[in-house]
Amino acid sequence: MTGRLWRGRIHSIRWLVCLLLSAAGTTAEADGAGGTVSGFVRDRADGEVLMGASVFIGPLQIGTTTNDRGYFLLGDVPAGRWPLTVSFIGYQIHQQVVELNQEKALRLDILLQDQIIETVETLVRADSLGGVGDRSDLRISTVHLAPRDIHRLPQVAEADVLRSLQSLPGVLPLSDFSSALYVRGGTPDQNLYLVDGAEIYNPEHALGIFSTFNTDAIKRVELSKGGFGAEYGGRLSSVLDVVHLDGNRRQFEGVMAISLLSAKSTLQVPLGQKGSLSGSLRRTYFDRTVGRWLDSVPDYYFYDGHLKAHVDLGPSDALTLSFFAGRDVLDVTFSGPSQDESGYAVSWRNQTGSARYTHVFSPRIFANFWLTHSRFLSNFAFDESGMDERSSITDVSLRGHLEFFHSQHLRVEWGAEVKKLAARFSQDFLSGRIDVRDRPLHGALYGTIDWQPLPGRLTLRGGVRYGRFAARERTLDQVEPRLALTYRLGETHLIKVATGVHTQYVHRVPRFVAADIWTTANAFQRGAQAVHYMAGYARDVGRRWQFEVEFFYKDYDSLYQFNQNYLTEVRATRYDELDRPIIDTTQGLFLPGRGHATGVEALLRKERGVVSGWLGGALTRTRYAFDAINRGRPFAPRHDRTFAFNAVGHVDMGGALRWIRRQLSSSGQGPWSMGFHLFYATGQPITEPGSAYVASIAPNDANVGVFYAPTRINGARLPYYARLDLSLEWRGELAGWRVVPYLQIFNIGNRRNAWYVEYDFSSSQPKVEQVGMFPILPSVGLRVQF
Amino acid sequence: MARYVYMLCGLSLWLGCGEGPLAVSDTSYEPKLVIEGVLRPGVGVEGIRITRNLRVDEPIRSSELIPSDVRAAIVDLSNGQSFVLKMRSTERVEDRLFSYEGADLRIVEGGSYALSVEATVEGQTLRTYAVTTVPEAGFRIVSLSDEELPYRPLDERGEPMHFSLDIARSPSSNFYLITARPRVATSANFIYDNPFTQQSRASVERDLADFNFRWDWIQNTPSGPGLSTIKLLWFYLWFYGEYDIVVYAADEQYARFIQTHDRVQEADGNFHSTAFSIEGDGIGYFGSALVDSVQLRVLR
Repeated sequence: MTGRLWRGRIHSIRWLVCLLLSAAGTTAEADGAGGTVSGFVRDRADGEVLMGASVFIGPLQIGTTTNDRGYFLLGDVPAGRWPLTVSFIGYQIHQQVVELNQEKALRLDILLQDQIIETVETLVRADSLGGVGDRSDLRISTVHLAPRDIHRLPQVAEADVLRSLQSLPGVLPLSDFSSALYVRGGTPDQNLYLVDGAEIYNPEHALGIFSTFNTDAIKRVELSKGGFGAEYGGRLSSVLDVVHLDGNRRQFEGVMAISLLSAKSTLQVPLGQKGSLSGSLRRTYFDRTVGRWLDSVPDYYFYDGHLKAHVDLGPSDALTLSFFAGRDVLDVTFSGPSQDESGYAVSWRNQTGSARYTHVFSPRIFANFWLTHSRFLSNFAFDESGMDERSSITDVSLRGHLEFFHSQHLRVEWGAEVKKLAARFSQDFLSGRIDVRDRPLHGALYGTIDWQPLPGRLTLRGGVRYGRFAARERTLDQVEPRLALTYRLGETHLIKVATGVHTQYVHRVPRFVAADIWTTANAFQRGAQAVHYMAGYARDVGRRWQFEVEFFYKDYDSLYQFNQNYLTEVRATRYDELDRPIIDTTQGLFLPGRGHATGVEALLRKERGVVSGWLGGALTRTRYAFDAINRGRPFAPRHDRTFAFNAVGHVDMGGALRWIRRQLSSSGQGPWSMGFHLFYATGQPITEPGSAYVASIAPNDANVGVFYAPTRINGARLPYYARLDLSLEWRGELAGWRVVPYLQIFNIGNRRNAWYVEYDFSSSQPKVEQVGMFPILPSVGLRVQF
Repeated sequence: MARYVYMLCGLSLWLGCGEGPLAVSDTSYEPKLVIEGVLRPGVGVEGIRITRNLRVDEPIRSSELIPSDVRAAIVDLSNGQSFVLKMRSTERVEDRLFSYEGADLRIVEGGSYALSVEATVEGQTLRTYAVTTVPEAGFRIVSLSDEELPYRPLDERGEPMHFSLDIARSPSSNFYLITARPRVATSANFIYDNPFTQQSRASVERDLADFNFRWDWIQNTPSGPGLSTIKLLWFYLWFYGEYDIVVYAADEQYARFIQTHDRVQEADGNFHSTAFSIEGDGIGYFGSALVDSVQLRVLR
């Protein structure tokens, strides 16, 4: 690396730090006329900070909610004694009197007591989500899933975050074999996956049964399906923010789980009085069981784990260190009878690390700084053909985010990010070599205003993000405005609208078994862009139901899709000493196009009671248009499904029996519970073969083969997809440990959902065969908590 | 309330069982003329096959492959002269090939030629047009590493050794198709003891066409003269005995067809289009190539 580049980089970092600190310095003086009450809200039992807890002073009609580190600030509090109330669903209401006289800044550390209310009428737990009336931070298109929800969903073998999210309206799977998320017409590469602040590039393990997120180690999952704030950038469709458990600050705690496919464990331990540590480890053992018994089953396994430490450095400083690593290995040996074996091996791994430093500059200024590292590597080796393929993307980011609480009705957030990317794809084969390397630098500045021009009624969140992407032979500048409005029509219902411009500078070559390959914008492809427009209405229906409906329109420009006929387009840029071609650009790899997605989604959710769950439906229409595909005519991409419906439920069997017997006064949750998930969706678009023709491929080829000539891309649809999954679990105690054995039955109706269609011309009468996805898959498992 | 619960249960079971109806149908069928033709210097214009495509729900009958009223001509673009092609009349449909037998049309290296075809399919008159420029002279097989090898010998590192060809390149072709065709291909000389696949005598006889003509290519070779090497992997040799190895230095049109025609089905089973270089109502390929061949032997 040249000294000039290093100087440029150091200059960029210095510029970032100066900007953030100078802004903090100027605004630190901007305290309002009244006093402030600030602090952290935590769970008394384990010390975990609580996000979204309501903090208010009734007589003054002022209130706020805690941020993602559990921090809150009430500003402009006049001198005097005031009753402070802190509430969070699933916890006992905390009340105390605060006194502000000489001391203008009061700092509190509030501990909430977990409270499980169990009656036939209600069941409220610590991780329950409130409705419209309970929460003031309801952002458009944002969904939270509690770990409890994820565990309750019947799935293949064990609970999984991504598969759980696929049960929400607007989020679709491509097939049973993929846990990738297709959000509102977008593709998985358009989703920003964050794990403790670090970006993760391929969050799926092979065959899609598992994602890289271990459910037992997760504290919070937040999915923003669009219209996300200016603090997020670099993706077109959605943001999935996963936060691991900080760790129990009071006592040792652990979970062990075993299923037919994997074993895992999550442990939490306090670090003295100052912090906590959590860690998890998971490994599949398919290769040691079925793979060992059946030669036809390839050896495949993965392992992953995380380690997270949280330390309070002082009353105003905290440091969180988080590491995650996972590795997949697939080893395939061909089944020939020769002693001399041949086969191929694929492996890939994710590694992330993040350091988050939290500092309270003043009660009004709260800051977070991240240093993150993320690396994805894959390797594919096929010795017989001399092929050795390596792919990697490395992301080192430095990010700062500050929140300034100007007044009760105005909060300003701003920040900056510098990201160094290194993407590499190399493939050695007998007749040449591909070696594509890109090392772009991405910088971004953003600012957001959270303003309540009509307190309690209208909230305006406006922001702008400026990004510069400096790649080889191309520099891209982009200004991305974002705007969101929430208008509360009453205590229990509100409307939301949002719009925003989003840009993406990384592109993906999708693959089926092996992990996807990432490239960055460069001389041959620009950044992709999408503009989101959305409007929604949310309301509480009675005390237990919440209803939301949202409309969206997403307009894509410079959309890049992998060119299936790329072999005809690639060009060698140089040659080795044997005159073998070396290809070191992505020329011809992607096709530029346009697109749009529009739709309406409805969600009816019940968080409390004997039966809880949600009903979700979405009507969506997605169309892409590429000059080089379908003769330029618009077509529905493979993931487009016109209609999708999910019914997800969890039934407390004891409560249900009491309800049936009308024993309304009884309370207490029984040991047995049942979960169900019905998914129905319009069939996926497919491209019909168009017609068949016979041809030989060379003048000396005496055979004729049957080939296809598709003419209309994705012009037909597969039969509808439907699946019913059930689960049954029992909760009990054994030697003081909580024991939860469970049974899951995936696709209990054994419906043969179509994956694709095969045409067979080997007999005189052509045959069509539906290639199905997963049949009925029962599985059992056991979770032990101690 | 209970009524709704029962309705949801019933709906769930009704939807979540069974299998969706699936029929052989294709609403995207469009009649096309199928062209197969490679012009070769020294060989002339022969072996051009003109057929038609068929709906996927129809059985493939040889008798229905030939369009009616076929008018085909080659135009020498150096002088604009047109030469009408004639179809050989034989019993076998596969052998009904178009050719020009006159001595006044020579296919030369570097020359450009156009093929125009008009024919009737299902009552519609279809027209198609394609152009090829023959690669420039210079291509030949310079050497073959081994005239014979036992099946899949291993070197001192335990890696399989391959037959290898050195070729002198055509200055204007950067795509080389290599084909391997055993002179005798039966279930008796099939290489059963291979590491790739388990085959029985019956399966070999059933799938003989899959094994007895194999091909590979190298692409993106440098423009201009020079030497390149082609390794013949053991995937392409399934029988003991002698092989004819034919190498084609192809033009871009022929190369595009070879690169894409059998890769129209993606990993998830969905189809996409082949990169045809034929205008109008045609699919297939009309290209040109320089040809050279060599023989080798796989020993038991």
